[in-house]
Amino acid sequence: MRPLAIAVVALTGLGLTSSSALAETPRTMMLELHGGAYSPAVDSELGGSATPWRDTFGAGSMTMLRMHLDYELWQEHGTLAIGAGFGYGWIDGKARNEAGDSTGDSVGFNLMPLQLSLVYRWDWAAVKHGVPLVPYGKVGLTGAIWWATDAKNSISNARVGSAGREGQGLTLGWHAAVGVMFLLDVFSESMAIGFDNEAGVNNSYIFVEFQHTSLDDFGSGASLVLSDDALSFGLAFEF
Amino acid sequence: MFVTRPHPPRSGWTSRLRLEVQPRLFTALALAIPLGIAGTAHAAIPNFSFVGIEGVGTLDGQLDDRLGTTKNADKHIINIADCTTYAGGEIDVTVRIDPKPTGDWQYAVAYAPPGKTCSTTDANPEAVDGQCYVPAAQRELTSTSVSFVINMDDLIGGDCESGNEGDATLYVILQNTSLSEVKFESIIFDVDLKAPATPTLSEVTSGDARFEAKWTDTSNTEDGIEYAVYYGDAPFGDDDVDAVDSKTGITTKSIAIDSGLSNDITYYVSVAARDQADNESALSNQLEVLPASTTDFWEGYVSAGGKEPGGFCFIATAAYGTPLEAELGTLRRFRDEMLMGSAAGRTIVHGYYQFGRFWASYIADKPALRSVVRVMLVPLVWFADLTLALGPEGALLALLAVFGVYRHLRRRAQVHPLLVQELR
Repeated sequence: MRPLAIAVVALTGLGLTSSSALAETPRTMMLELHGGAYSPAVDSELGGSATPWRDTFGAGSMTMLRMHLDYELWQEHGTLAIGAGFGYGWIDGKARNEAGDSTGDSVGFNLMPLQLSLVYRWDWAAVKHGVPLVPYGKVGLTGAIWWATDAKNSISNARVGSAGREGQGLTLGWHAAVGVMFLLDVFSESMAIGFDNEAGVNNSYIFVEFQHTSLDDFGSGASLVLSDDALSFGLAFEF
Repeated sequence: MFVTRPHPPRSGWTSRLRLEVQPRLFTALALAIPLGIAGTAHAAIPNFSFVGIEGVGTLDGQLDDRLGTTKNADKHIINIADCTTYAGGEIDVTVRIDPKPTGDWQYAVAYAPPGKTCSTTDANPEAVDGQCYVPAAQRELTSTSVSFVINMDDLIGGDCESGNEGDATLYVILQNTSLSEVKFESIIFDVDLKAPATPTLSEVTSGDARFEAKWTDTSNTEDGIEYAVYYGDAPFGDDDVDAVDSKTGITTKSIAIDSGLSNDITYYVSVAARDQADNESALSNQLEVLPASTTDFWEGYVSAGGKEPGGFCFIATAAYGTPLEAELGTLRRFRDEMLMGSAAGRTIVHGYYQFGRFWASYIADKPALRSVVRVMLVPLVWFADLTLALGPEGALLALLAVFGVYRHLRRRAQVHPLLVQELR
């Protein structure tokens, strides 16, 4: 614990020296750019009787890129904001032959989550005292458009008798996230002031976020389960 | 006093109609005029244009487009197949000089096979280095249009299997007899009798009603090389390529063929290289491939018993409980065949996708509400059925007819109160 305590004290001291840089233009919005991995729990629906996701895509995760923009409604002891975001995730795999072995046919799965979030960032210490760490939380609704592709890169269509079932749809759910942001401005006070004066960007952050996503049409039981607990990293700009 | 400018390096797809302007001519003129020295002037022909080419006799209607037969064509290509087709034949070339230059002018037409040139010092051209054919010399320019016949064997240079490539040149020369002024234009024919080398088909892998072919080619290094993949359900040779399926215009060294194939049929595959003049190499080695059914993620999910219905018919799926109901099939067909065919229909579908899912989620676990929605959907299903059966116009007419009958009955009911009771 001692190294951690030293680090916090050091960071606080670093932030305090840059507090004069926080005399700034009004803060109204936050833009976050996320990158991370995502592993939807599709196979969980089948209770272990079959693992089509793992069979096709292996143990790897989807690459997920997201963008989030929020509007700051209240700035007192922290910041309360409402925001929206969208992302795109994809993964490629191999189709299987009748024996269950991988073939040369490349297939894929694509996920485009759309999110509405209520955000709270405890940035009081950062704004008032230059402490460069900002913990935050989010909660909201998620709708994800998804589509599975076949070897011809078309939307997959599974035949059930004479009818077809299209490998695309929209699944609804909710999400909750916690994260912590590190204020980059403390590294260069003059650069931060210049960024604010010239581009109106008050604060720049790097962050790490842990998000629980429950995506199964609120437990309908007749939906692709696209839920996951995932980490993401990225850059954020408050302006 | 003029200098014949050497032709620039070959580049098959650049403009092949050259306007020969010789900078040193202006220097000569600048010197000659003040000194009163009589000299031969030369420049490009003003108002010159290429009109076209037509086949003569056996070549009438046999010319390929790549010869550049149409007005203002700037590429004129002769490949191995053309050489064979055009052998012993003649073409009629027409150019235009409109308006004619003022004064007394004579014209000449000459052409030389690849590697040879004709002199352009006056309207009486001669071979510079051995071969120059002159269809017309020292003729009075009386018309704005000039036509002349060219022997294709002479233009191409003979042997179609020589493997030679180069530029054949057609000259149109004007000379003002009183001023000793000479102007000329040259039209270049890209004669390419060299077929590309044969690539090596290295691998063909099978997929679900598809295959992927890969090949190597270290010999054909010129720009613009393309490949053609040929495949059929029986072995074939170079003479059979027109009878088998193919994919042409490939600029990479691999390709996926994923249309028109059936599983569990052995296909034989070969590849050939094709150059910018459309000369094609001999067929490569032939490999066999057997496309077979594969299972992608979604198919695996469905076959494993996954319940997600897929697609976007949210409310109807929720109401009917299963995507396999006949009514859902009708609504899906109505969406795909009717609504998606028009901008207004697509807007409706888009709006439905945007908001329908929320209603679907809401009613999914409420049996009573699902029943209500199911009843409410009945008229829509009927309308969809009617539209699919009669088409949009037919459905509209049918609805108008029903409406008309209804109004007629109402009017009658107003006239005959007893009928009102009967209707009720």
